[in-house]
Amino acid sequence: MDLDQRLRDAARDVAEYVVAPAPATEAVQRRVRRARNVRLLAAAAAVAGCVGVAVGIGQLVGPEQRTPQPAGPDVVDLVWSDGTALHVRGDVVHVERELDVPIFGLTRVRGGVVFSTDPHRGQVYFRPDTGGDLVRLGRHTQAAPVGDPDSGIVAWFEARQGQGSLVVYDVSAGEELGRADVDVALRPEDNIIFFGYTPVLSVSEGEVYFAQNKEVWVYRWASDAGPESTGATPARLVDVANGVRAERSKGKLTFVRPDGSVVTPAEAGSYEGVMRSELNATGSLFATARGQVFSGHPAVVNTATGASVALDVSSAGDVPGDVWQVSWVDDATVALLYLDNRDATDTDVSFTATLVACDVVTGACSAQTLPGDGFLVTIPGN
Amino acid sequence: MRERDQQDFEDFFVANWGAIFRTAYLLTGDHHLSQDLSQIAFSKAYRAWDRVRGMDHPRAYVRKTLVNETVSWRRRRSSGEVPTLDLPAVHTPGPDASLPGSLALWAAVLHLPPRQRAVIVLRYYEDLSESEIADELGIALGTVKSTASAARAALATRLNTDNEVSSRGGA
Repeated sequence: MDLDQRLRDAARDVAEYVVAPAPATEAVQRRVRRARNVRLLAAAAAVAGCVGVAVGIGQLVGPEQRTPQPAGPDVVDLVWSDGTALHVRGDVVHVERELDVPIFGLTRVRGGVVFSTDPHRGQVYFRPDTGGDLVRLGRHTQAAPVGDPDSGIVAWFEARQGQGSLVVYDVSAGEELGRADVDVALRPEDNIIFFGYTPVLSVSEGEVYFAQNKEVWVYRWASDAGPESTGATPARLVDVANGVRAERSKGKLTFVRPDGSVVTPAEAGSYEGVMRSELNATGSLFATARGQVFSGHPAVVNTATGASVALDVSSAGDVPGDVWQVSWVDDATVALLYLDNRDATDTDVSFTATLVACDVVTGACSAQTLPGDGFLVTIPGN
Repeated sequence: MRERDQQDFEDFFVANWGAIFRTAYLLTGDHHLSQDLSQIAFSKAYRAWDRVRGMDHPRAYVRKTLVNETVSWRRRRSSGEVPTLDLPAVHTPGPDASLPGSLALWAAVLHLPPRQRAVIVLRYYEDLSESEIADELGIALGTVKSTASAARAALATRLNTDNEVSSRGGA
């Protein structure tokens, strides 16, 4: 038999005997829901046009007025991953020297960045701000870690031998603070198709909020009790930080303060989205990419007053594409990740990633387009 | 994305997942990596679904993405790494006399450089013409011909060597 026929037969034999895993339909559905909101945002932003500047800044930051800055924060200060390497203020950090180990989820803790590798390796690493070697914190993780930027505490999910665990770890002390059995079925492919996906909503003040069985649960690791249901659904509870809850109820965005008071931003009366939104660590400000209800721009909202400020991304120049991630860098800076593939061709399906850093006080932004395919770029999430 | 478009994508994903995964497996010989690369290919199609759904052959778009992702993935990785078939963990047992020979031949294919491997898979599994392969990989027709020729020569040499070693061992 000639080589051509042997190759044909061999390809057919091997392909027939490989059992493809089931398609991760649920992961796709989640991705569809998430991206649908981004599309709505993009459409609304296009309709609204690229106008709008920082208004109501004083309401956001209080009585102290600052002189507007001509440019946004330095994008070089941002932390991001290109999918296989971590970029920290100009340093390029690889997990292994010889191999491009995929990086899927980033989060901030005090003193550094925590990230997870691809679910097949399933490792969690800490990269100190001071540099030095990576510190491996855990294995068998199946979703992106979530940290508390005000402390060294980070939480992630592990899956071993069919058993799921929520792990709480203190990077500062180098010790595990708590571990709870959870009924969260995570498959590796969920994370692959939904980069950086995690059921953990937030970590702060001794509590971890996470989604389990279509409800948001809270795990207080210092107590002997296990996780308790909050009664809220993941669609309702957008984020929690420092006792402040960002909630969506009947299409409205509201902030529930620790004293029980409820604040509804005037501009967010028809708020629908639950994604691309993040409370800062103190719970005082809420960053959102839901431009259609905030003057067509990503915005920052004061959770005590409801006043909002549009982030003037146009001040950074032409930033193509849609907002894919919103992330707090510190209490004065929000990072946005834009992805665009309008120039893709049939054989070049690469994406252009642009990092944007915005000053929430001045509203001014700076942008930097990243080289290469930006498809796997991520910035830290909470 | 409209509800109908979402459903379209989901139907497309479910209907084509198996075929794309098998192509990925032939390209990599690695079950997990095949899953990863297949998911990335579908994810890219999803993000470009407005455009992809109007194409005559959306699956071909995903396959193009997959093949190019695989080639660039391998290029980025350690040059000394040689993939091997992890078939025992995933294959369905069954009586097939030709399977051992096929596995041995495909193990040799996996030793080829990424682009040669891609050309072999597209030619002999996907049954594409050389001009279609050129389009799929975004390279010149002449490059496809020379790449295929080099791949066949390398395989013939390797198979002859294996046969000689086998003959000596059995003598």
